[in-house]
Amino acid sequence: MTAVLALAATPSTARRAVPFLGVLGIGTEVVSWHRASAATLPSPAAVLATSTSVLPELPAVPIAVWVDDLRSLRRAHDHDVEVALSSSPELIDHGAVPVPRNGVQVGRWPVLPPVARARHRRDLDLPDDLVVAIDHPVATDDVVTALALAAAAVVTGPLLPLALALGTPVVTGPDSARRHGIEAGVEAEVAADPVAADAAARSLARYELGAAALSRRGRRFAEHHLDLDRPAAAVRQRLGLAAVAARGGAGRLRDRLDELATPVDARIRTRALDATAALTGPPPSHPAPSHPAPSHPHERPHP
Amino acid sequence: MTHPAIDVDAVSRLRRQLGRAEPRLVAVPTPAPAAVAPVPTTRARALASRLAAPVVARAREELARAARGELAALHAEIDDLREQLDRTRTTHAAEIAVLHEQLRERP
Repeated sequence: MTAVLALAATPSTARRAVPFLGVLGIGTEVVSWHRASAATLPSPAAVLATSTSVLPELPAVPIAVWVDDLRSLRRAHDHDVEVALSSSPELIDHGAVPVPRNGVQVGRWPVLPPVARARHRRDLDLPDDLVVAIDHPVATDDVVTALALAAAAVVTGPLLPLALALGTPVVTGPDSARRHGIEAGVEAEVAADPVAADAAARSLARYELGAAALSRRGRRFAEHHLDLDRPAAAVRQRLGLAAVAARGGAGRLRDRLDELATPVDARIRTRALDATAALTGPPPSHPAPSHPAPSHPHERPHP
Repeated sequence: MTHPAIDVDAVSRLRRQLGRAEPRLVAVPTPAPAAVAPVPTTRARALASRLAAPVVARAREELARAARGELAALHAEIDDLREQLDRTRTTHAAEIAVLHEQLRERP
């Protein structure tokens, strides 16, 4: 029987749960706690709460709750919650599980470095210097394809994590950069106004080495700071929810490699993925091993 | 196109937006009508099928071998689609749960 995962929220904090719950809830039946309790639906196996103010009304099941400051973290501990969630580095230092505010399932999107993009553009008869500007709130097929094929992109808004995960050389605005903790010139170029952003993206599209370095660092940043899969797996385990079963042999193989803590750029992983490429399509390219992966997934604090 | 982020229809739309012509379709030549073979006798037909048996068996084997790869690829595609479906269903359930929580105080 599918486990029920309930969402308990205040009206003002409910929205923050959507991206994370969309990943955490895979393999469970996601319901609203207040709707479920009123309709006498099966009792939940676990609850995800978006605020500590709803804790007193919740049943005695494992609970994950968002905390915004030390006071709410203390309140969460007082209520004996299983796991506290936060995007604040200070609270992460005090044991909260880091959950990015605007995250992305990085593993879902194999990286496309500039050289692979150029090949695809040639094959698809698209201009070699394809530069796009994306400020859409939703990842439609058109937007994702444009981000995957562009030589460089001006990206502001909620799709910035997706662009970084795909390895798109990105130019963004100062607000988006600040919100995601991006260093100007490291993971993305930052331009103050649209005209400067367009010019920066066009120049980035022509500068292959710079675009390649930006693409690699952007992907790595997404893996370590914006990935939703990792916190979801940790929270799922602590709430006693079953791990999401990998589908197919290649999925199980990836899971075993993850379980053995095999680094993303390890030769054994590359060889295993190459060997199964005929079944799953080409393996994702991995970032060059010149930048060793940080030992802690969130060693770079968000501002 | 094998990358999950690249959608063929989206590429066509992008190409149109950029004012690029769609790649020309190569016309497939219509095969000329084959000459009608003479009708073989029963004995000749039996002999032909006996002679062809090993070749047919071999061809079947080769086809099965070739299809194995296709089959595995189709299984992988089905797995991908199921995963996509799970993700979409969960995202929708999360959105609905959020709406219920936001509207709970309304009559």
